[in-house]
Amino acid sequence: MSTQCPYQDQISSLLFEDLDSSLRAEYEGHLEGCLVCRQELERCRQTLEALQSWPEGPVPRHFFVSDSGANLGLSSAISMLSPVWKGALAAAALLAVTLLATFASGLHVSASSRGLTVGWAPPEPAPVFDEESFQQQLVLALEQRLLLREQQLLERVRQELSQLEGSLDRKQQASLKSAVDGLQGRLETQLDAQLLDVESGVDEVALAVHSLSELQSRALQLLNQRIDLIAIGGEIQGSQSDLLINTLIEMADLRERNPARIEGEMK
Amino acid sequence: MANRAEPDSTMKDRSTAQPRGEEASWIRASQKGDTTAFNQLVLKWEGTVFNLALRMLQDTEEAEEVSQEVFLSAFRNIGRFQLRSRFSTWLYRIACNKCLTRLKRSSREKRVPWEEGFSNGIPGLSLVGGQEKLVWEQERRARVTRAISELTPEQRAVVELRIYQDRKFDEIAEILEVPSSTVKSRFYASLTVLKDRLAPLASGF
Repeated sequence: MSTQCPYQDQISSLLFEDLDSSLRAEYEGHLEGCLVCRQELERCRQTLEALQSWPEGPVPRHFFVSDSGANLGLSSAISMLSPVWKGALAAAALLAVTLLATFASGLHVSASSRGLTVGWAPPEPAPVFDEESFQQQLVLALEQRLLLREQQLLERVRQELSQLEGSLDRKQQASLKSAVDGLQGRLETQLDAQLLDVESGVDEVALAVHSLSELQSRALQLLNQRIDLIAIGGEIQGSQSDLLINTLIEMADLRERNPARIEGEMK
Repeated sequence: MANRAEPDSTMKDRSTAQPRGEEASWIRASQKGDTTAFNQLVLKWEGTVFNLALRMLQDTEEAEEVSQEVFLSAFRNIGRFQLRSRFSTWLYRIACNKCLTRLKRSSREKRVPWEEGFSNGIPGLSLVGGQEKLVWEQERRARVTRAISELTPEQRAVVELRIYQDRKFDEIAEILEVPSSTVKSRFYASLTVLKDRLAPLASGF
């Protein structure tokens, strides 16, 4: 809607903001003589009424927390790390995922009476890589460093304050204590907000890992299907098989590096 | 003329100051690991959290999952909650962050049409008042849902907190950790969209 009155864009603040008395009086005074703004305000009221027609429904179940469910898990421990350490952990996790994907993506070729079969490697002993243990050790090491840094910082502040207290009178000491309490409160609130940010960040990292994993899985699945089609479609003879296998291996390699592009080319 | 948006009369009475009385004692006990005390807080706030998640995500199952995540996260982090702050502000922050994460994930995955999110009917609707009224209510609710679904995740969060939770802009800024000016800008941009979709409702359609 085009603005036909300079007040029109601000008039809805009468409904949604705490205006000071002078501004409120100004807007209300203007409303009396302006049809455009009265209509605009009415539209806002109607919108509000429509939105509020959605009452709160009952909960489908309770969301109680149990002792077993509330134990501090790995994700919670990760969420307590600083963004820097979280980034390092995410990089390590991505590396771990990549390593696992590499182990799992080997091609397998076998000869039988039906001809040459090309497919994914049959189940083999999984590479020894305890991802959970690896993450736990990393988190533990990072946490210890983080805590040590915080303790050192607190100790330094305490030393500074004890030196100051000797040279201050009682009133000044009280003021200092009050200021330090206030500062501590603000820092705690800030820390609290940062930790929630970090938790949200961990969710994002988990999402990214999940997306990457899905992408790889889809690409590998597609390639597997194509290989199966070739293998099922007929027997492969002599030099044809070497050429085909080499091509497939190259494709697999390319697909892992740039799955979207290769998929597009194949279409 | 009303001075400001009147809160929905069906909403629960929400504390707007730092925790006092039994809520404060539940929080203190929860900070010592008492799950029974924490579950008292769950009882008090689960309706608010679930309905917030439902309006933002527009999917009953996802709202349930997120609500559970919110309370688990709150319990695990309650040791860090300062009693001089509002518990609701802290809880809203967790809930909004969880919902925003979900919405961003949904935008990367296949989006479920909003109607499919309510495959078991739209929560809060009943057959009271006859079939005609039900049809009207369903249509009205559908329009509201569709209008909200046109907002960005960040806009939805602001609308939820301002309209449904009756939070002031400054508190919303604190919850979402963005400047107050950003909150207002998101809110009035949302209002433009919502007015276009919903204003004709009051006079019929």
